[in-house]
Amino acid sequence: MDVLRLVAARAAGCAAFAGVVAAAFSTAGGCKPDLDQRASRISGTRVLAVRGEPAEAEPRDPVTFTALVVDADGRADTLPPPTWAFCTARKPLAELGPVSPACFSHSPDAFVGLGVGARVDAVLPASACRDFGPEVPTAKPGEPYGRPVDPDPTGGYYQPLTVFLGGGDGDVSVDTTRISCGVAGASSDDVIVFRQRYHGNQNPRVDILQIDGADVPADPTTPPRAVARGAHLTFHVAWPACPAIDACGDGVCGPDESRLDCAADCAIPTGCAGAERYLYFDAEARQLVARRESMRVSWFATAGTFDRDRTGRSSDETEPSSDDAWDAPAEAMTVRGWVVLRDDRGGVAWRSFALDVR
Amino acid sequence: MTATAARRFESSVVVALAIVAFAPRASAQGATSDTQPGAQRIGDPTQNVSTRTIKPPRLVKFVEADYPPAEKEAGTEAHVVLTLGISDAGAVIAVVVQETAGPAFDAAAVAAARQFLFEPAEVNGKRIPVKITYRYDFVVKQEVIKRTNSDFEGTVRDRASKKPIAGVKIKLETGQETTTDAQGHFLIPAVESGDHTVTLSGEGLTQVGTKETFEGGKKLDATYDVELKANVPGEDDSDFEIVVTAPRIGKQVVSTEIPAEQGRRVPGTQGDVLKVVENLPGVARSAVGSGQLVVWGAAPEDTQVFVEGIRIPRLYHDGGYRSVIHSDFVRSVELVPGGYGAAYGRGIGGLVTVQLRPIAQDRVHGSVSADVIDASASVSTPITDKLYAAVAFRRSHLDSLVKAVGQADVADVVPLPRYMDGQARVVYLFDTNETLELGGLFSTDAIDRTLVEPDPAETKKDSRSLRFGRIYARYEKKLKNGDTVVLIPSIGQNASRITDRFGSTPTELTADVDVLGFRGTYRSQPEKWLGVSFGVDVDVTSSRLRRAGSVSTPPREGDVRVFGQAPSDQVNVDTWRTTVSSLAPFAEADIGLFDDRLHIVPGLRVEPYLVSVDKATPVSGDVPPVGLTSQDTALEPRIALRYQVSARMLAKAAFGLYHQPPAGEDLSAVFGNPKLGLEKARHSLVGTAVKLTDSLTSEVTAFYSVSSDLVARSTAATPLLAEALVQQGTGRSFGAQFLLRQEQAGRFFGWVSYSIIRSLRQDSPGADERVFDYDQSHVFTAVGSYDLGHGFEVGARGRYATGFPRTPVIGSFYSPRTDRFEPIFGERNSARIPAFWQIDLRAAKRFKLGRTDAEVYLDVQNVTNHANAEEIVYSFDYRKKAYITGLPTLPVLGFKWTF
Repeated sequence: MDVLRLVAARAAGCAAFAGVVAAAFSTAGGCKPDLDQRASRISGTRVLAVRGEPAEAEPRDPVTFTALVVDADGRADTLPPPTWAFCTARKPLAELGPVSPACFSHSPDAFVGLGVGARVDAVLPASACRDFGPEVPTAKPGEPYGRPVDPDPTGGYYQPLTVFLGGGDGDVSVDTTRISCGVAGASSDDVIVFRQRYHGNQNPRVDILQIDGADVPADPTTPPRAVARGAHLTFHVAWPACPAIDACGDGVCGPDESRLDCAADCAIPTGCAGAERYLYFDAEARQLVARRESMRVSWFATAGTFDRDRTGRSSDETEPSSDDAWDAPAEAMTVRGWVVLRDDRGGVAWRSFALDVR
Repeated sequence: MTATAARRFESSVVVALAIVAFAPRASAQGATSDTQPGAQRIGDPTQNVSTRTIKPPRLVKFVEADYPPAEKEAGTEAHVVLTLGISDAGAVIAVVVQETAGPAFDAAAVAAARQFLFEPAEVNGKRIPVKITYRYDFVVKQEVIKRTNSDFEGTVRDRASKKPIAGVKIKLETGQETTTDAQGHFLIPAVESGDHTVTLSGEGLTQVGTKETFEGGKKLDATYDVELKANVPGEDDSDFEIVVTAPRIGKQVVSTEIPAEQGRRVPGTQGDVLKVVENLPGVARSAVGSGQLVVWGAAPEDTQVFVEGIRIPRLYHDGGYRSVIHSDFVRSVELVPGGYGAAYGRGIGGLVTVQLRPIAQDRVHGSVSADVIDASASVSTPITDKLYAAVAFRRSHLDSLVKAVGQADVADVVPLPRYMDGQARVVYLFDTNETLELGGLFSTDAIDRTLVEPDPAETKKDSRSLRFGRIYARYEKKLKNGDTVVLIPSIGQNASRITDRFGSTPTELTADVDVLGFRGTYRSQPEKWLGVSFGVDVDVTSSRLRRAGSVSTPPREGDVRVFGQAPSDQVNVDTWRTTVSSLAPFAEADIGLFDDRLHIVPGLRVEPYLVSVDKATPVSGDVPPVGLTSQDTALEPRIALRYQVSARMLAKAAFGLYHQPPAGEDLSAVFGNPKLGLEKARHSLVGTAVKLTDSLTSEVTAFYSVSSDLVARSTAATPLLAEALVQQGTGRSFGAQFLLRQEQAGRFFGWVSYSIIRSLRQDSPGADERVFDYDQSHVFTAVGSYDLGHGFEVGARGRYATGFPRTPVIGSFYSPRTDRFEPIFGERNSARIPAFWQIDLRAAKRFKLGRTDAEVYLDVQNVTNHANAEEIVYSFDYRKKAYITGLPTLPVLGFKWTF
């Protein structure tokens, strides 16, 4: 994993001095441990993604959750169904992880069960914005008010969602689903504008998946494509291009539009299935600004080796696609893979593929 | 009794007076005899004569008899009983020996008695002649002759080698002077008692002065260890300068002071004097590249660094490769891990104090040095016979060098430090007792790197910088009575910037700090056994801060995390201003008892703090911010004891209370807590120092430190507003340190230090006590340097240290939204990085270049190429772990030219 490059490099003097003294530089590799692990390789049963539909909802709104669970053989539909639950424990400030430790502790006190299955329907808790959002927590008698939850870099708040598998490598996954809670700390005018022009996130969509220039059908029952052992294949994934400037009638309700000035797009707000623009409250400048989502692509396969485990586009990059490459294994086998597309507001989409290595 | 005094004896006469009524009707009832003090009445003249009032004669002039020389020499004592006839005018008109003691005594007694004068006796108010019996006792009484002067004798030695130095002029302000002989010995006889300024000077020497107190009749023995500037064996013509370290009142009970000459020769320091601190007892080994000072289990930020009494924010540049003060400016560095005196405060950890070297007064001096890391230069020069100046500058070139060898992208991956520092000093000598110094220093550090990944969520940027500067004046005057006044006003600025980005999660922290300081000290020695020091220490720190980004970074001590872990993506922003000011009067005494064998050093520091913050709560909506000002006073009694058990053994103990104001960064209403108060600590220590030989000493010190009101992150799931940090932590550190130190003896110096320390923290009441993040149970360091002669020198350093504690990862869970596995932690800090050990070598050759000196050194770190684990890293799913290892064998070649 690439983070290892960084942390290894942070053994400060090692490569620093090594850069100066050639001989020492040649030994710098000794500073970096080789854990020989790739996040793109599926070696056991694990959750690859969880998708909420809609991708962002208000408290009391219904949401349908779907998990992409696979195993080392590439099976996705025949695995034991996971168990779902909302986690009610709030994350302490001292906790670096995304959720409270209670959310992966199997403690029944911290969960509200949602059911079992690859797909479950749920209703976001009514207290979600107080427990996990900007609403001031209920104060205990005689005590001052508590601290609201801080937003993520996109201004979002999230309800934890735990997915228990029946066993295997990653038997607990804790996702978070975005909740619409408004904005905290803004002036009353900005709050009004934000409510009018912030539109809930829409899940992205994989428009195109190409392997060596050939489209991969969206139908998962399509027979695997044959490839040679050890072949080096290029992968290309694309998603819809979203408008950089809002124009009423373009079918996308952007951050400069509201139902008041563009009913065509915003009467029922329609998002974009790519890198959307969205309204964000800049707490330092104390003003509302429009931002663009970044997109991440996670590549998975049961065999072979991707050049890069993760690719994507930052918010500054407007290209609606990303590329990778993959080396087929040396042995003949059927390789299954998945491409998971994420926007940085919690939206998820995926596409699977299969290759017959001969 | 001194030899001179022994030659002086003085007789003390006890006079016995007997009054016998001269007139048969005389009455002595109610009368008194007012004789010399101690007179003894051997006859009772009182008779009950009711009809007359009798007043006996009263001796008003006593003349001491000359003690017969032969008898005095023989120590013979005697008494002579005389009958004195006293006229009605009071004169002695007749002397008759009634009881003889021999002709000599008789004659002396008679001769003296004839010179007596009495107030006449009276009967009913009428003066009458009388006859009395008088006994004159001759008693030999030995008495110490109080000389009003004393002899001043001593030796001047080379501080490093302890060899005597000839030709050093020792001069008193009385005009008396002498020059040391071939054995370094000097003697100035008959110095008037009192405080005198002693000046050591000579051709090619820096004239320095110190104060000595002379007590009449007592010889003053003094040994001055002086520091050779260019102590090149075989180079007899090398000039040198002398540094006299005056005895300091209230010297710290536990401290290790390393002279610059030794410090720069320690392997691993690459000639940097101040890097020697890492090798001193009580100091944990810092992780490679961190440059942090962890002293006696205290947090790095709790240990303060002072340069001539002026606080600076750091001792080392980024990466710990180099200190921020040029070595040519450093006379010595002293580490006080705890239990320090009342002159210092505002910290609950240890102290590092840097003493600057006096500027050479004879001619222009300087140096130029360079190695693979940086290059530096310094120069000092006399401007007039009273005005002297010195400047130094250093700049790193490691980053440029890396790019020059075609590794331009390395800087984007690894933290290549870019730094500069400089110092300037101008000293005006009014006279040997009065100096004014104007000085300034600055330091800048910057690190920028970017690791661009195809995944925008994994792209990392790390940019940080710290700049600080100080301008100060230092006025010192030694008064005629020997008292000393030191005044040090200073102003300065710190500017720090941290801009990190982990994916879309930023961490930005900027602080612009104005610092105003003043330290005034008055030292006096009103009695030989008593030294006092009092003064005032002022500090005003005004900060303008901005922080944006993750609430969990920068990381704090106690955070449960793994190296390289993504920060929490909950973000916020705040800008705030703080002012922390305090004015601390302090007083300290050094009471020497039992012939100076016992020193009691009580001290008291009273420090009222004023802390103001412009935002008491986070700004929300249209509500204007409301500030907060709080006041607290720290009362800090301290005491130190030193007892010279024997000529070679010293026992010591100290106790003190210490406080530390909150850091401006912690006073944010969003990321911290504006209501934070003072952190507290209590230091207790006891130890011994044994002088095994004249140059070999061993010291053992045990300590126990308790701290309270420590600041830590709130562990509450729902913390109160503006209480992201709370002040509920407690801690304790305890352990012992051992030092066996061989001062320069012949060609060798070195030391062995070992510390065993346990440092624990409890973040909130009821929480489990945990091991402190910087706890290192065992730290062993051995340092040695041997002079081979002809300018060659070799040295070695061996180190062993327990690894830092880490919280083990016992599992993981997957977070689909972030597409990362997150660690599940076990018991906090219950595991450790494997122990560290390393051997470093240093070889140097000093030689002459014309009339200048040069040195080439090779500092080889980790000669065994041992792969020391520095940090734990995990695979993406935390199922595998491995260690980042430290420096491989690394030779650093350096050159220094001194003129």
